[in-house]
Amino acid sequence: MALLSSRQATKYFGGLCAVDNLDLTVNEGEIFALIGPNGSGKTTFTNLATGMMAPTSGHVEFQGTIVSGQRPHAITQMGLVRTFQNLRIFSSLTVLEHVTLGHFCRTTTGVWSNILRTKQVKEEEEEIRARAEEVLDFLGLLDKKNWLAKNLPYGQQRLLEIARALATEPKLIILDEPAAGMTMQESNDLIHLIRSIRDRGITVFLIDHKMRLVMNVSERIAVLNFGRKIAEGTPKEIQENPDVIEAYLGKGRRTA
Amino acid sequence: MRRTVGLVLALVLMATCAAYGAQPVNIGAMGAITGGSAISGEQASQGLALAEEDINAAGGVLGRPVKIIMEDSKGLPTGGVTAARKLIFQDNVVGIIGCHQSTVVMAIEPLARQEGVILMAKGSADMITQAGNPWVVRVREYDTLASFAKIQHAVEQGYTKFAIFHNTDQFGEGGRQNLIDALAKFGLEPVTVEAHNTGDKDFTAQLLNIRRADPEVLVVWTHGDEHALICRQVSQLIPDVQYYGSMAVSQWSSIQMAEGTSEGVLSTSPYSYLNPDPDVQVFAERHEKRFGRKPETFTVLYYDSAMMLAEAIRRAGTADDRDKVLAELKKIKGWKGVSGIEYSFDETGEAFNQIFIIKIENQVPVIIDKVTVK
Amino acid sequence: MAELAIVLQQIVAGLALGSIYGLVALGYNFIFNAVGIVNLAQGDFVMLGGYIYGGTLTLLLGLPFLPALILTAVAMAIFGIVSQRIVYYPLRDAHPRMVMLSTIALGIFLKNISLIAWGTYPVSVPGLFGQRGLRIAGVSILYQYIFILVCVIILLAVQQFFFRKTTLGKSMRAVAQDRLAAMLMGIDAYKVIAITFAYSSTLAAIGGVLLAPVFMVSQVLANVGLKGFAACVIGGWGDITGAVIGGLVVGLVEVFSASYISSVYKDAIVFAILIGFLIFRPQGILGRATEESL
Repeated sequence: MALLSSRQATKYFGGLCAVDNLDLTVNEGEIFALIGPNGSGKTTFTNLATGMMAPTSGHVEFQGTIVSGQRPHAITQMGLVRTFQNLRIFSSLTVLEHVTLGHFCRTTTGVWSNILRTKQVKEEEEEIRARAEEVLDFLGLLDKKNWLAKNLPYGQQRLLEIARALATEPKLIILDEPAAGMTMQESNDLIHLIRSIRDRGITVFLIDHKMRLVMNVSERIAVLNFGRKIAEGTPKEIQENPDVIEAYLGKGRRTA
Repeated sequence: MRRTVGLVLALVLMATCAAYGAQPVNIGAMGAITGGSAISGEQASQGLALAEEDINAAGGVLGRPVKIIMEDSKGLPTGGVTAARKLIFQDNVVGIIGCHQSTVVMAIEPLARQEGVILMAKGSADMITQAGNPWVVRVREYDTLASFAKIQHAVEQGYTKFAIFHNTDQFGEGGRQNLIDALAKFGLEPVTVEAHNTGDKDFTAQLLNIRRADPEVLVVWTHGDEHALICRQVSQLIPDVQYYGSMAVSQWSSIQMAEGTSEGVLSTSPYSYLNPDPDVQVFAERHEKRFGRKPETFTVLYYDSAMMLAEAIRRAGTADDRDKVLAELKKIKGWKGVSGIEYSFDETGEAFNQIFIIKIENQVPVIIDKVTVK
Repeated sequence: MAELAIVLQQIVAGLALGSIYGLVALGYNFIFNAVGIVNLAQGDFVMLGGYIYGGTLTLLLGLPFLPALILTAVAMAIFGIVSQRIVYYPLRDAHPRMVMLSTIALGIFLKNISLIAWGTYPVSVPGLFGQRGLRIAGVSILYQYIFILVCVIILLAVQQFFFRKTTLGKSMRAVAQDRLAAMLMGIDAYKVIAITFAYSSTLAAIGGVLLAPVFMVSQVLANVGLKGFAACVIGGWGDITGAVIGGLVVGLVEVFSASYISSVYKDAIVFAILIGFLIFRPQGILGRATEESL
């Protein structure tokens, strides 16, 4: 069943077409990867799907609802969340605070009860804390829950971003180059992590150009070049696709 | 019959036109309606509104209604010049009443001389009438008069140790010099002199410096808002000193703002609404009924100025020959104003030669003495 | 002995003034932290709070202190949200300079509106304590000054708790540090920003209410905004503790420089120190970088 799909999504920056009539479908429960050379439109598509930019034409649907053009926080609340290629952690918040904040969008109490700190709020905060610790445990960060985020090593800051995203209890998580800057060991661990995220019932949308990671972990891959989808299929199919090879190795221009 | 009715109607119409349809005589005025000393402008406008009513109720001047046009000087020389140019060149006024800021008066005085427009100044700086400008007259106490009256009164009470606390604007600096000169006439010198800026709110530092010098009398030369706050802080920090304030401290509004801390404060003023003089009382009641507050000094001084200028126009028999109007104005002697003062213009253009010593007792300004010079 | 009393008196005055400046500085810092702009109308917010409390609720409607305080706070919170909507929101993606310019315009608008609404006479309200005070060993302290100090300390404590412990406080910190990342975590950043403006205006309102009995309310009251600004620079932009320390420094410098250097140039001295900080120590007295400041 299609969870996330884009229909002729197009984004122009001035005269430059970053995403060109893109049709994509991500099914519930799969690990889907979007790859392509630098500047091929991967991150732009992510921005369209998460409300950071509005498409020039076409749209992106999540669970049958059009999400492109909506406010980012509303999309997150619908269950579509992302991490960033460049780390965007809150340096002076602790690890635990990051994750509890992620749960914030699932709370039911309002501003006033929050200010007045009703019993309901306190109970809810306790529950959030328990769930946050569970997420941290899942990512192996529990022993560092009271650390300031900025003091974590780089690889763990990446994990913290994932933890923060998972805390919003998403149905689909977009991981934008999660392996960037990771050591070989951390990168290997990431493969297990991505699988166990899927095993929690969360659909994974992976964006990366580390072929080893993508080919190892994903079940279906789409390839972008100059904003267009040039191929889609299983890792094996993609590896054998001449268009893909050409795009990646840059052997002249593809003939229409 | 029909013809008679028509004729009567026509006559009535003509008469009405003569008085009210005729081109009005314009009198200009200015004060700070906005800016730091905006209170004074509001007081002035209220006095002028009543004056315009009274002049026109008495049939206007020369069969024409009088229109008083008030402009905002913002309390600044630049604002004053703009306002004066508008009044002179656009409204073609006979004279300008104001401004109450000496700096503004000095800025517009050359324009009045050049265009031959009467300037009824409300600034208290001595230099206003010393500029040798025949078009300038003053309907307000001048600083030498006020400072001399205060010092003389204090010396008569047996005080010898004086501290001076003044505003740093031209008004305050002039006051400081006048006070020092007046003290010198009695062979005295201030034990300390402190200063503050317009808009200052906390005077602790200066008042503590004054306390160090241990004076018997504190003479404060500043405006209404600052006076109210200084009274409050003096009552905390130097409660035993005898406070002599400038005119503003005895104003109804300043007494309210001081919240009881100006009790016993002495000042000089050309006006107190408590003056038992019936002319003063009738006006004060009328003002309170209309505006919900007691008249202040500028209210009555602007009112009296407008009434005297209208009278001068009547006596001159013209509003266009301003030389003639000025000459008639300067002939006014012993004119009793709603301020309670008798105005007599002298050759330098000063209308004042007397002033009241006022004491705040039970939250009201009571006249306890009247000082006349010469 | 007399000299000691005078110095103590100077310290009391400096601390009382300084805590008000600190309060104003806090108001600046919240908005600065939330959206990275300096609300140059903050002093005018203080003035408006003072007018609503003194001119309308106390003098016109005759309300007692506490209801008047609460209503002023509520009115100013609403006003904060409205002004956020008008001044900030339409320009949220523009350069922060644009927003700052529009806050200057708001300040001018408020001064003129208050002139029309409340007139030119300063509004004088006795507050809880009037002009009464304590007198110990030659040092006189207005009860209102003590009240101001206590209020500022309580506010700081409540605030600290709010930011460290509550989810809303934490999301305000998150929005302050990275608005977009916060939004992508499902935090409604614009709602949080609106709440920040509301809170900052409420702080200004409390400043106005506390100051009204001491300094009266007039358009000149808005000038405390300048001193609050100086406090922010000295304390370090965005630093909550720094704001209060900066405020106290400004208050003490003002009183002592007026006493021992020049009463006429005391403001000039404060601003000379401000410029010194901008040049030599832009990170403020505590020297913490702004992003870590909350």
